[in-house]
Amino acid sequence: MTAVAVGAGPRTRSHLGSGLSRLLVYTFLLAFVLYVLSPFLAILVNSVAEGWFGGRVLPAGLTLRWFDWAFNVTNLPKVMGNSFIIAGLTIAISLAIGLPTAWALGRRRVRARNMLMTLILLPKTVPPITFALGLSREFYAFDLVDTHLGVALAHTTLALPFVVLIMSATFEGLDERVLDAGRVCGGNWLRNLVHLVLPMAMPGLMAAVLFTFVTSFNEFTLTLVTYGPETLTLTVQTYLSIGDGFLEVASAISVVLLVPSVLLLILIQRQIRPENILGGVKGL
Amino acid sequence: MAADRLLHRRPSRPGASAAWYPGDRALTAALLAPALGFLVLFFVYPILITFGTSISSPEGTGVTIDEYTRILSSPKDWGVIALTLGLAVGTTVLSVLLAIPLALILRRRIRGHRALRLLILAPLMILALVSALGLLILWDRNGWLNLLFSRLLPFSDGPLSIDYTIPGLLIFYTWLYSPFTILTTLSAIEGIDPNVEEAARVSGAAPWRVFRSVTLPLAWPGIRAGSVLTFLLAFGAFSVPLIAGGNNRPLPVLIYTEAAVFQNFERGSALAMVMAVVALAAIAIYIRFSSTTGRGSRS
Repeated sequence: MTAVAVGAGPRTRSHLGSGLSRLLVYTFLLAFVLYVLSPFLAILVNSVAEGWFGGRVLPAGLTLRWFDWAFNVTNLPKVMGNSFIIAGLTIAISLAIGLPTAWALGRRRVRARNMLMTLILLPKTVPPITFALGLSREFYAFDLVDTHLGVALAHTTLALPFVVLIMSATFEGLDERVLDAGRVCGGNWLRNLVHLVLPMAMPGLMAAVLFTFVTSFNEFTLTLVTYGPETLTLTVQTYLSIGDGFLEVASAISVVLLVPSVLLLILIQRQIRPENILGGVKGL
Repeated sequence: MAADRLLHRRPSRPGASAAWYPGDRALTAALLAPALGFLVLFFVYPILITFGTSISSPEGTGVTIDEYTRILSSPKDWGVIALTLGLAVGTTVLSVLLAIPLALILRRRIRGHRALRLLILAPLMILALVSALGLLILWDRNGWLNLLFSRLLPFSDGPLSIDYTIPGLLIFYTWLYSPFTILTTLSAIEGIDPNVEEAARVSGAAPWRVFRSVTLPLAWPGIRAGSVLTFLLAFGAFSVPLIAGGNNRPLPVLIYTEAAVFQNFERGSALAMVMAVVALAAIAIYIRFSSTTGRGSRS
């Protein structure tokens, strides 16, 4: 392996040597591809499987019954609606309180800037379960349990660090000369904000919105301690279905859950560099 | 006008240093206030509540550290802490072992390397619960992998039990959390100047020696940065061991079970505080390391 490993420069596409080493590399890559993809394949097959047990490679038949169950028995449309409402609220709250802070951290002189940044990133570094119990008790006291707003507020603790991190970097990178030009040309602050800052910050803003959406859509720990019958989300419903032993129904719900993530993955490939999402989405 | 001060640097100077920002403290404070207020209300305060619960006696009369002494004197609880740490360390080691060969191959920009880079991200984008379900189905006693093994190794005795075991959790965690290590390792290894390795080779070093003495030390800061993220995520993993752990209950599952199932909020809260302290200690060690030798990891 190492004979292949240290070779020609990294900036050129290079041939892989020959013979055994080449075979080894492709075996390794094939194994990696299968390793990453096979769980998804298993879920896809399981969600339409009829009689898939007893050591069969493929199910005996195909059925859409599990999707039917998911939609009717577990009331998937309502659950999905909850997930979208909560994600939308989370985006609104995170942007409303995150953007001013990101602007201050990115473009203004802030004392103890690093300390503030660390504090804002803390909810992403400490496992959510460590403050989930306290949050749950607080929500009971404030009557926020089983409200869309409450669950969204819980999600915002995890989304806010993203918004501040991505947007402060975006704002910091804005070209000062363009803003100056806007002012010289007589634009007032509102005009400059809408016509100059907004378009320039748009790529970062899109990234922040996407990550906030996926954070909320995929959040489990804090949802589990703040949800109720009226605010059941897709993630909690998946958990409950697995707990009830209905793996096929859980698979069907999972397929629905996969759609936004896959769309995001495609968008990322087109728009955002993978390095930017480090410290990114985690479905704890 | 306040809003004008908000948007523009004052006074506007051509070629002003990028480090120069307006310092209008009241305005800056007003901008920072909502986020900080939110964090205090929904992050700091819940932690304080958790701490308060952990030191309150069940009868609600006064303060006690009974729960902490009980945890620290219980071999069972130490076992849980060891399991949690062990899973996190094991996952980290496996991730590094996976990341290095993968990065060494991908740096060569072989055909299809873009698709592979995208594939690395897949586990990050997908809800852990969904991935865990897929892995459970895959590693089931009647699952595809056991079918494959039973054909490849006809002399083996029966299917492998992977689901709901500690090795199973290690496999699942590595699948879920290795992307962080892989991404930073890839970025670090691709950031190495090929001429340095070329120089070692020309000087007569064998490939393994070039790797061990040149490539690995240069890439190490990046590998370490990502592996700490992997460690923290594996340490805090909750949903995966909840559905795939069986009788193996790491700290987050135990915390949840104590509070939600047994309604023992005092013990659950004390365990949560222990967990937070260990997590913060890990971060502190990380920051110390990354500030002394963390340079060079970003390419």
